[in-house]
This record gives sequence, structure tokens and C-alpha cells, in this order.
Amino acid sequence: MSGLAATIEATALETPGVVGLYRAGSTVVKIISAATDRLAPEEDTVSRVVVTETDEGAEVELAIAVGSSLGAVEIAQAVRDRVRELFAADGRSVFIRLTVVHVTGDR
Amino acid sequence: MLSAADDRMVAGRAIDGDIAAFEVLVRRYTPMMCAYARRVLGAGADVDDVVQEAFVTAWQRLSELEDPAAVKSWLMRVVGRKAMDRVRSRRPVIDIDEIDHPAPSHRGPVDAVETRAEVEALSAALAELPEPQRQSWVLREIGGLSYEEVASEMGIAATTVRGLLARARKHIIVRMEEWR
Amino acid sequence: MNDGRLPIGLDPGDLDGHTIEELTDYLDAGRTPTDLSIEESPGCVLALDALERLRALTPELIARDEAAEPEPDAGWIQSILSGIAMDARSGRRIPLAAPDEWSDLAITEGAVRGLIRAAENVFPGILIGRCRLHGDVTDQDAVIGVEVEVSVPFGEPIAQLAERLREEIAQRLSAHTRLAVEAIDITVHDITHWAEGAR
Repeated sequence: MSGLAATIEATALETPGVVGLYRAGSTVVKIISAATDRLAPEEDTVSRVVVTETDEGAEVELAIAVGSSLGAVEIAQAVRDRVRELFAADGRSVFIRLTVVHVTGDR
Repeated sequence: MLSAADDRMVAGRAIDGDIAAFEVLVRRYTPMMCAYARRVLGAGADVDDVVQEAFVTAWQRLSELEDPAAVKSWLMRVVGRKAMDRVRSRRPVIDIDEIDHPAPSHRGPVDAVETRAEVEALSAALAELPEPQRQSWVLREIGGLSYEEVASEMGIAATTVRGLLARARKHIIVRMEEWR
Repeated sequence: MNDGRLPIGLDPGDLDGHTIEELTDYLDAGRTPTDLSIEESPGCVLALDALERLRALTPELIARDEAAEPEPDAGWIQSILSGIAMDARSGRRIPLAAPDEWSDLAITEGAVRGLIRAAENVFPGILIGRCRLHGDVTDQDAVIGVEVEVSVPFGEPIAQLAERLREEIAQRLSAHTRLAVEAIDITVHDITHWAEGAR
């Protein structure tokens, strides 16, 4: 996994309310417990963030799971802002395509 | 609580993407599907693979299930098809000679449960049948397929299926009469 | 062991010209219309009895086979779950904010359905079944209808429960989406009879 993708992953995971990252075609490796509604993301070294670089800038695609104490809208916006900051530090622009694929139950 | 819900509720949720509900279906119907696959495949270790593949396929194709309440018979069809796919991959063409020569005797499913002697006799008689006869009987009588569906699964004509079934029934009846 | 009875004969010669196939069809048809050439043939009647016994035994065989199979364990469940794709049911992408030149933020329909289902945790005993979002959820200006099936414990006043559930669902949707929800239709699909304290 590229350094940039790893950094973006870490940034997303550090955002308050984000509980996991997924990649397209993720399979369920851990058993879902209906009572606790915990969804364990697949553990592997393949990046869960897709970064496409062009001359104009970059495109980042990621899928996240969020907790329910904060709103999904606010969490998504926070991730977007943090990733933009990452690229802005290098003077680069970035297009972010982010999908919330799961909202966990009440905690 | 979900595990006590009826098929319609559980399958409905699984169709909507609820993995916990799908897990309930797996727990609920694994024994039934393994038992059926074992009768179709005969002796051999393929049963686990076949049933697991059937569940994976079932997840992918759940949206095709029009009536969630009918998930049980739908799952039987999925696993029946997978089992016959496995049979065909072992041996693509029905061996006509085998239709008339009895299979070497092999044990049926392990009997860990006490049942009536008659049922055991049926179980043993089935296990003795040549594979095409046994499969046609199992697909029809346990799987509930029509003659045409059995024919399609086995890659033979419906008239051949009728002939196989008649032979299977005769053999079973004769053996069970001998054991009475 | 055979107690001296003649072995049962199942060839056409024993069945007065009939075949096992014909007798099976006759049995499948419920032995109607009555075929005297069969019913008056001792060989046929014997064979029909045997076929009927076989038919009656089959459900017992099925039950016996099923009972002999082990219950699936965690490893079995794991093998299956590791083969299924989570995003098979994502459904449509629902915008969380108006897409601009820098971002496209969305939530999947699957996630929203999961959200709605989780509302059942607030109401003991109920089970939420299927959820449907009606309308073009990908269009930010669209007005959306939500349809939810629910199974409710026996004895609960349904109208009240439905109202509370509706509020709970509305709250969740407004917390996590920007959908303009016009209506939440709750259909009570069945009444559950689980005993108190049942899992």
C-alpha cells in the first residue's frame, strides 16, 4: 500500500466518529454480533483507500463505517476536510469520493 | 430474537442486506442442506464445500427470491444444483452401464440417531442404489423437483428419468420387503 | 427376515400388464379416477401398498438425515461469511451534501436500511423486517417515502408503538442523512408470541 494511501487511511480513521474503512468487494471476515452490532473491517495490507493521481491533482475514493453518536453528514464532511488539508499542505487539490457504508447501532 | 423469527422475516432482512439475518438462515438450514447434499453426492467429502458454496451463491442471488417465506425450498434448489454441478464435474456423462450394475456397497450417512428400523432400511436401500438411480430419486423425492427439472439437472431426457425412478423404486421396495 | 411370504413382484408380468411407472402416476393422482384394472389386480394392489409405504417413509428419512447432521459451528459460519461480499446490497448512493467540484459525499441505501433496522433496539420485542425507500434518493430535491414492515409483540398497543417507532426512525434519518422524508409507513406484518424473557 502506498505511503499516501496509508496516510489518508490513518487520517480518516482518526476522525471522530469513524469506526472503520472498507474497500470495494470487502468480505465479512468477523462474525457480526447482532446484539453489539460491531462490524470488524477486513484486516489485510491491501489499501482501503483508492488514490488516482493525475497532473491536475488527485482523486481519492474511500468507504467508511461510522458510529451513531455524531451525524453521518458531519463525520463525512470532517473526513473530507482533513483529507483536503493533507493535500493542501503540498499545494495540491483533490477530489474526494466518500461513501458511508455502515452506521453502527447506539453506543 | 431474530433467530426465533419466521423465515419470511429473516429472509426479508437478509434480502435487504442484513448479515445477521443471513447468519440465522445459515444456522437454521445447514443441517437440512448438508443432509440433502450428502444423499445426492453419496460417499465422499464434498458435502461441506458444496453447502458452503451454496450459501455464498444464495447470498448473491437472494434478491431473486420473490417470496421470502419460500426461502427454505429455494435454498434446497440452490444446494441441489451445486451438488449436481459437483457430480457433473467429477464425471460429465452418465454411465449407461452403471444404470444396471449396482454400485459397490458403501455405508450411508452415519447413524447417530435412533430411528425406526423401516427408516433405516430405506436409508440403506438408497445407499445401495447405482448413482444415477439414487440421484434421480433424491432429486425428486427429497428435492421435490419435477421430472423435467431432474432431467435438466442430470443432463438426460425426462423419459430416462422416469425409467431410473422406476428402477430405483423397485429396488428399494424389494430390499425393504426382504428386510421386513 | 422374510417370513415366508412370496417376494413382491414388480415386473409387468406380476402387475397384470401395468408398470411401476404407471402405478406411481396413479398414486400421484390420488388413485383417481379409479382404475379397476389396477384396483382389481392383487399384484398391483400389493405394489401400490408398497409404494405408499415408501412415500410415507420419505419424510421420516428426511428428518432422520437432518437430525444426524451436526449444528454449524463458528468456523462453519466464518467460512461462509468470508466468501460473501458486503457491498452486494449497498443499493443506491444517497448524497449527504450537494456534490461540488471537490467532493462527493454519500451514504448507501444499505447503510440507511441498517440504520432503520437498528431502531428496533429501542423497543423491546419488536423486529423490523423489510425497509424500502421510495423515490429518487440520489436526487437531493426529491421527496422520499419510507416503508417499513415490523413484527410486534402480542399485547402491545400497535398504533402507539407504530407512532413511537415512526418518530425514532425519523430522528435517525435526519441525524444521518439529508433525505426529505415525506412519510414513514409502518406496516405491522405479524404479532409475535415470544414468551417474556425469550432471547
